[in-house]
Amino acid sequence: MKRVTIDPITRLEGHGRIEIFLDDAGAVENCYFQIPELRGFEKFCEGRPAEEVPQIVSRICGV
Amino acid sequence: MRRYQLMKKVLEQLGVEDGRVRLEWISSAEGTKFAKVMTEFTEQVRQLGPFKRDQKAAAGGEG
Amino acid sequence: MSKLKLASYWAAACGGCDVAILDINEKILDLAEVADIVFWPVALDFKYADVEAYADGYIDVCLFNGAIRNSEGEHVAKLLRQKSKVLVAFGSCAIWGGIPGLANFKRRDDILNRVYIESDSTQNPERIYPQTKYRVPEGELELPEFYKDVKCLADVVDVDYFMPGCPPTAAQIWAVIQVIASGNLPPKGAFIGCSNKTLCDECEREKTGKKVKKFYRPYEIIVDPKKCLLEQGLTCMGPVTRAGCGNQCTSANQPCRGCYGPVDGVIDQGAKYISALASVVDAGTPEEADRIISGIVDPAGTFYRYGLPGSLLRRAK
Ligand code: SF4
Ligand code: SF4
Repeated sequence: MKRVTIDPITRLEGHGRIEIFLDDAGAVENCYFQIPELRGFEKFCEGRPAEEVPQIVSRICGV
Repeated sequence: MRRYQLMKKVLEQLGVEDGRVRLEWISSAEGTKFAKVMTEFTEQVRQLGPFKRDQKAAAGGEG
Repeated sequence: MSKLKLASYWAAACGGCDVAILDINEKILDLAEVADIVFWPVALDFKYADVEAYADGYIDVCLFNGAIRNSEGEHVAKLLRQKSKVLVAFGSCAIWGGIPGLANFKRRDDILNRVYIESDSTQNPERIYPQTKYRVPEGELELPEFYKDVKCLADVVDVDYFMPGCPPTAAQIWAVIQVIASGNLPPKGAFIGCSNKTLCDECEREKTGKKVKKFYRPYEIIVDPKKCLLEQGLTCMGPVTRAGCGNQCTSANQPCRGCYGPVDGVIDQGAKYISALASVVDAGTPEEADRIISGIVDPAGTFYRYGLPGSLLRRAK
């Protein structure tokens, strides 16, 4: 079995990797999309003053 | 004094308990007072135990 | 002379720093005259394997943005350090943790729980968390390890220069690129693309030395467009923030949020701001001071908005 790794996925915001497994005939047997990144905005926005949130979440993606 | 009050609020949010910070004015003539305050404060901090990070949810950002 | 080789990378970042580079607009063509870009995930299709294949020191200058959040960030930081002659911590996340650094107010497990179990848009009845290694029928997959703390770039590798901003402004980026192209680099460790004055030094708002009786949240006040925002009771970080952004926020009647970090010689921007704020509080008694200070709803989150990982305490308990 052959493995093709696309790392990193480019020209988009964020981090991603694709792992493709090929069978002996060279056809795609399975393919996995992975997101190796987490920052945790869901948690660290909690408890912050409401007026802060738009300024914080604009840093989820600046592209 | 105001600096101290503000700093205490920040430290509380960062999880440094109230009892670990204390402000006293003691003149060089007040040796007994100095000894008393130091003993008291040492005992107080000893009772709080070592400052451990990650023991409980950080109070920071909760309000 | 052969062309400069440039790289730009993002670790825990939003991409805004990369877009700020593109904001130099048509000057990007001038940049292409003097430099070849050899790695830049947001814009070009180079892979980690390409970088690994470069000789050590092959990259002349690497602009590294984003904080170090997981083992992948640290790994790529080390790789790029090895392959680059000059490594620049580019933007506030790389220097002090930035907005992703706010995660140091929370615990790792609470973050993972919130994201993978509790969030309203998640269905995960088996409570599956990301695994660093995972066996699938075809082989083994790997994910980076999510660290307990957000780190700064300089915590994991040796950094040559620091360029602050959230993001650095396009004008400053262009100025720095010209300096790099000219080869006249400042001494190692310097902050570049900024000034060593404070924002207040460059602010044109009228200061009268007025003290503050009450702090306001932005929706509670219509600000006077000419007067100092701090004196009007807004937590403007100008007194402790490095100038260089062109006073973008204060010119738009917004208090400075502190994104350019402290000036040289100040170790902890938040602590310095405690001092600065305390000196403008107009209180006769400790009780009154306490009442006034209580008007600041989230002091730690405000003073360490961009810099908790790079501060003295580094994280909340
Ligand atoms: S505190 Fe803010 S508004 Fe006042 S002078 Fe400084 S930068 Fe300008
Ligand atoms: S005014 Fe302050 S927060 Fe706004 S861009 Fe300048 S340094 Fe950053």
